[in-house]
Parts: sequence; structure tokens; C-alpha cells
Amino acid sequence: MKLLDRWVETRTRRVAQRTSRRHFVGRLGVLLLGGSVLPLLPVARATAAPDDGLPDEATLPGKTGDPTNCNYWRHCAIDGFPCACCGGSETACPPGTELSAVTWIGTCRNPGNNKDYIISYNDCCGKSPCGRCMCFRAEGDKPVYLPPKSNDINWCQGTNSNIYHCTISVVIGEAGSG
Amino acid sequence: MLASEKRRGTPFFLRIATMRWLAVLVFLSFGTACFAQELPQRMTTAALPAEYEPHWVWVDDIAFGHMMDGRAYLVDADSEKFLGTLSTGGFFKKLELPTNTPEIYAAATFYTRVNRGERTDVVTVFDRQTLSPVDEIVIPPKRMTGAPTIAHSALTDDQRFMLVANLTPAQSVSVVDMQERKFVGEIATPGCTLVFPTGPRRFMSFCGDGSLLTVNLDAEGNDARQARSEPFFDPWQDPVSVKGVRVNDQWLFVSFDSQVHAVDIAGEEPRFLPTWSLLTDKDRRDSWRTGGIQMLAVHEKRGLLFTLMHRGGIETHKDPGNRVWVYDLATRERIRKIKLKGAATSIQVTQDDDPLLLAAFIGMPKLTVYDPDTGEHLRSISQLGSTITILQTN
Repeated sequence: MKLLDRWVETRTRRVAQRTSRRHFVGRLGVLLLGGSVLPLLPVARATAAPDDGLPDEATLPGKTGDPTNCNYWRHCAIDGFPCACCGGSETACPPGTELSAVTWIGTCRNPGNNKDYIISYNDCCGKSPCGRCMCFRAEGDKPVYLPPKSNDINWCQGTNSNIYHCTISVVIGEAGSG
Repeated sequence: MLASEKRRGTPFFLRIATMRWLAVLVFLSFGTACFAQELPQRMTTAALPAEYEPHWVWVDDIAFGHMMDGRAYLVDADSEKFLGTLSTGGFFKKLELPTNTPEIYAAATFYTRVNRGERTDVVTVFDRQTLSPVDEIVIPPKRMTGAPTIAHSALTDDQRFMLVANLTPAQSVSVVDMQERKFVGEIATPGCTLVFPTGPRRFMSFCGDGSLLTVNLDAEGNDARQARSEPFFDPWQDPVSVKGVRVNDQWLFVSFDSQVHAVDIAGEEPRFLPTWSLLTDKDRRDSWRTGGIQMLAVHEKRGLLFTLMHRGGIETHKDPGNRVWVYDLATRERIRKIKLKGAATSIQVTQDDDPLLLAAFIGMPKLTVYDPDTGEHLRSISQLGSTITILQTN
């Protein structure tokens, strides 16, 4: 229950940040896994990750440089538990979990240089859901008849176990740079 | 003096022995009295009647924090009584509730070591009175997992075949013969997903180009004929949510922009009826839209559509709402606005002549009950698992 309380609390705080009180219902509570935003394709290239030229995340404003926070710039399309809260990091699965090769990508703007980057959201699998730092940002999400663009789908696929644990947010490259 | 002499005269071991016998006698007499009394109650396991009451509701719980432990709770929405639990298994989506047999079906996934090991997907058959599993049919370990909808599985209208949506990410449907208790086969539905029953031996799936795939089954449940409709919406302009609801011979779906798409399924091919909007110009200016996990409900006899509403941008199509708007499907007029007691991600309406409106929020393990005619909050039933997803009426 504590985990759920924390999850609800985190989500509620986020609602408060992003909406007026009149809009109370806000964005709490859709349970889905992973995230999505344009352009989205299921890819298996998270190992690329050239971080060259990225602003130092320690210098980013507010919590946009904190991978344990839902406002972390790379989490713009995530829907799940950031692995940085679960014993991993924004690029590493927690110990004992299995990185899913099948994934999808989103585009997030880095607040340090205002450039758009392609982010790969890979799920880490094989243990019960981490349950920490629940983050739901479903901008660009589409229904499940467009699977590569839907975060309603469990993307722990092609792994030994299909049980979702958390999600990493890996920079693949600069958007539009090919 | 004499007494003390006497006591002194009795050997110590004899005195101890006497006391022990006395203790044993006291214990025996007391114990005998206890055991002689008949137990006032006989220990049993409760059972349910074969026919459920119309206000008994299944509350499905995906158990998000521990997904291999999905459950469904049966609750009396009148008396608030908790009636029982189905332990359905991993990646639980929803129940199938046939009316021709006192059974309940649920598709689920199991690993030999809970979270690891060999994966087995099954359709479990539960007894409606004992809520115990009585049979299971193994199906391919390909079930589509993720957020539940009412279309992750379905029964054909003749209730003979259960359909289970697969995604690996290749899309297909597993067909199970519930009468013969056997897996029939897997039907490839490339580019199309989920299962919406549209006839005795027919179902449809949503396709990525905005069309519907209709699949006709033969007598044995095999894929007899497939037909793809023309696209009836543009998924890139205004995606239609798959979180639809069936009312007699129609499936109703709502787009992200709250346009109602009614699909007539009376004939062999789906017929797309003219769209209409849930929103007035003012509603649109105020950013009202549908959202949630199970955001539509109907009362078939009364011809009423219930929609779960919130205010927000286009990307909030899955957000919870705290309003339910009621529409007369004959006139397409909004006849009522109901303010809920809190946020909800799922709504449902019982189908009897004295219906109840039910609502639940995935982040709060509670079922709230309303009068759908007045909007009055009648009661709340709490402590219902952890993460409520789909509400199902009997």
C-alpha cells in the first residue's frame, strides 16, 4: 500500500504542477507501461547512445536533470517506473533484470540547448514492477492498433520473462540528424 | 499444632503426588465440561447461488504492483457486502461471463517460478458458485499484455468460442472451444488487434489504418473468412479509442476529440453510422473530453450512454474524470451531468430496471455507487485490492 500511496502521491503532485485546481482530476493513474511520442518506431538500437554534445545534466534547470524525477527531460514520453529509482539509471537496467530489445522511441527537447533528441524507452524485465517514482507522460500516445506508438502495451517482449519492472531513457541521437 | 505435626508427618513426595492428582482431576473435570459442550457452529466454506443478483459487480484488479497475482472481486453494490474472490493469475485483463452455463472464464499467464521460468498461458474455467477453478485450456503463450480493455478477450455471441488477443508484437487471436474445452487454433490478424464480438461466430479487430477486420468462424471455430472494411477514421488526425461499449447491434467508440463512432454490426459487414459529438462548442472551449481505462457504459434497455469526462488537452485521453455525462442514444441529446465524488478511471452501469452507476479509480481501491437518475452518491465500498481496472456486471 505504501508503494501505491507514493505512486498516487507522485502522480497527484504532478497533476498539481501541471494543472489548475479546477482541473483536479488531472492526469493521475493510468497504469500503462513505457511511453511514446512522435516519431515512434519499435527499434532495437538502444546500445548506440552517443551522448556527445549533450549539456551537462547537473546544470539543467529544476528537476529536468534528475533521472529519478518525472520532470527529467528524457522522460517526456515515459509511462512507468524510471529505472534510476529502481537500482539502475537512465541508461542501465537494475541488477538482475533483463533489457528488452524491442522498444519504441520518442523525441524530447533538452532544456540545456533546446535541441530535440531521439530517446529510446527500453523496458527492464523479469522482476515484479519496481513501484517507485511512477511517471506518466503520454504525449503522442496512440491506441493499441498502432502498436509502435502505444504505451498501453507491455514492451517486455522478446525477453525470457515478460514481466515489466522499469524503463530506461537512452539518448539515441539528435532528432533530424538522421 | 497437631495439624502441623500431621503435615510434618506426611512424606514430602506424597504431598506432591496428592497435589498433582488433584490438579489432574480439576483439569479433567473442567476439560470434560468443555469438550462435552457441542460446538455451536459447523465450519464450512461459503458458496454462492447459481444466479447472481443484478447489482452484484465484478471488480477486476490487475494488481499492478504484483502482476502475476491478478484477481476479481465480487461485490454487492447494494449491501456493500464482499462476496468472494477469483484468483485469476498473471497479466489479468477481464472475465468472460457466459449466461448459458454456471461458469466464468479468464485468460491469464503463469510462470513456473512466479516471475521467471517457463511461461504458460491458459483460459481458466471457474465455477460460478464455488469460485474455484474447475478446468483450464492451455493456449499459445502470446497473450497481449499491458493496460486492460474489455476487448483483450471475448466470447462469440453464441458463447461457444472464447477469443484471446495476442501480440508478440505479431498480432493474432487464439480461439478456444469452451464447449469441447480445447484450443482450436490461432488466427493471424496482421495489422489488426483486439477482439470485439459481432455475431454468433464473428468478431472484429481494429486495424492501424483506421479500418476494421471482420473474421467469420466456421462451425469448429476455424477462420472461415476475413473481410477488411474501408477506413472509417484517420488515426493520425483524430484517433478512435478502442475503449468502446456494445449496445445491442452496435459498437460505440469515441475518438480523442469526443466524436462518437457507431458501428452497426447487424449485417455481415460492419456499417458505419454518421458520427456525432459528445461536446457542444462551449464544452470544447472548456476542453472537456473523455478519458480513463473504461470510459463508456450503456444501459441497453433505456438506450443511455454514460461517458466519463474530464478537462484537458488531446494528450489527456487516458486521464481520469470526475464527471459522468448521460446521453439519450435515440436523440443524441445529453440529458444529465453527474458529478462524481472523486476521480474515476472506470465506469459501469447495471442492466436491470433499477440500475446503479458504478465508478472506480485505479489509484484508489474503492468502488463508488451512484443513482444514475439523480447522480446521488449512494455508497462507497473500500478495501478492494490495489489497482481496479475493469468493472463488469452480471
